[in-house]
Amino acid sequence: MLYSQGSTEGLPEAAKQRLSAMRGGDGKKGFFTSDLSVNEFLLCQEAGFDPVGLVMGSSIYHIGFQQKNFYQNQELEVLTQAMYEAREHAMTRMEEEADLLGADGIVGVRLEVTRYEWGAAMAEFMAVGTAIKHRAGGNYRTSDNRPFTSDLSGQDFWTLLKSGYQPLSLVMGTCVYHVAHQGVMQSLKQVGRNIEMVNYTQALYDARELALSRMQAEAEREGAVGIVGAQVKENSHGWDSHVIEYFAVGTAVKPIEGSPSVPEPTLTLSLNS
Amino acid sequence: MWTGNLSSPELLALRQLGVEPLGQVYGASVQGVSSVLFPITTSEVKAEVAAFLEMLEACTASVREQAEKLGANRVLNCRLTHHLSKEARGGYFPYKMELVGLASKDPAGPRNDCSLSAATPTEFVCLVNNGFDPCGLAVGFTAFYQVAWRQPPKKGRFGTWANEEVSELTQGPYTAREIASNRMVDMAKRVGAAGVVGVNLTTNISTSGTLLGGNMSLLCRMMFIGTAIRRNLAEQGGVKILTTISVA
Repeated sequence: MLYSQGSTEGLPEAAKQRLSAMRGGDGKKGFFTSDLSVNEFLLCQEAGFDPVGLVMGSSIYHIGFQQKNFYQNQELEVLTQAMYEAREHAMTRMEEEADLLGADGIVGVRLEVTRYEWGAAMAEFMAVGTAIKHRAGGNYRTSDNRPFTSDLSGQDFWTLLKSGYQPLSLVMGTCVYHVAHQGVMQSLKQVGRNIEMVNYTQALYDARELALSRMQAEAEREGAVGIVGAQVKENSHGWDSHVIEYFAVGTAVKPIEGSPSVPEPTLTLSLNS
Repeated sequence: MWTGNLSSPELLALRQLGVEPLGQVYGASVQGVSSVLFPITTSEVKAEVAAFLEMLEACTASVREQAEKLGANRVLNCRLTHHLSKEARGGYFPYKMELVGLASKDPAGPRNDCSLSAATPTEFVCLVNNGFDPCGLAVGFTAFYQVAWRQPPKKGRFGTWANEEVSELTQGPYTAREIASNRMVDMAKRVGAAGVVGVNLTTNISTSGTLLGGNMSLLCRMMFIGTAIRRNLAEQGGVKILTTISVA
């Protein structure tokens, strides 16, 4: 399920009604909800953006099965694909909600994956953030007219704008990888010795590189000059101990044309412990 | 004499605004929810939702009463907890709710009322200094039971092992979020708010009842809580924002 402009295909009827009521218009006043903290809310306001609503997308997804080669490091493409597709479902639905609110973008996006004991092969993927709209109608949507998405906090968003950059899109790369088991003979050779576990080291390198390169490729497709707040997380999602997911996520940014120079920061001593 | 869990910077921030902390206030309520909990079709678990709403009303009334006795017109930093026991006692599941907050006297606050807010003291000061009035606590809750009758699995040798969205189950949490979110918005609108900030969502999804022949039922509990705000008629000067590097 990929984003297409104006589509509300993934949204239930109740969500469409709620969002149209929140948007206001026709003499009715709009109403917003936001998971931004008070400080984040005030900073977004100061940057010229008004929150227009808390937006969410979710998907309960059945993650398929892939046969592994016990003694071989390998990417598990079926599982990688599942992690991509389910997150895409959640992200697209969240963007559709933002579209219905007439938002320019979404800040503070959180992507959560929850496994429940009741569904061994299932997981809930959820994307949540606050949709915002520029008060003066600035052009902040992406080149294909999507609302921009960003996992930056309100503080980071404000600082980014003041530094002359604008967020383009939340970019991610994922790789689910099987770490090879050692053979019995190899294990016996290592008894009582400190030795590098080469297959483990190599697996971590490979999985990390694949996730990072996919995230960077996504940012390049968006026309970004860089990615800020990039994080690489290792998850196991309840798979067996030799299966890991490397998940890279960050906000792709581009410079704002004709933006003022960065203000000089002041050194402070915080009173908070 | 007053008690409170304020840090020194929070106390300083409140004092600079002329707000006096008066003491911690507490409300609690325990209800017995009928053990015949689960409906057989997709719908809300009415007994649990009704208990939640009644307990919320009892807790807020109790907190308000205590605050007013102290001469307060605001309760800041409200923290709400609720817990439904999994063990039935005498045909009922004990359901407990507690609400705790800091009663305060705000010379610029409501005159004949006491407003509750989830904002921390420093958040309260920031909102007021930027021309907003934290006018109420906004809470929305639901316990929603989704019965998912699964379509036959995909054909093929490894068909049931394929990647696929379980759209029948996705519907459950979605509907639950809509109901809970609408309740929070309604509560905020009743106090004349223009929006809700600092919204916190807590989710609990579990199976309940049956797993018959590949069918599954989900019980989705969702709670939204945030601070309802409105524009203050008497606009304040606003907070000066400095870009700083902390050396602490």
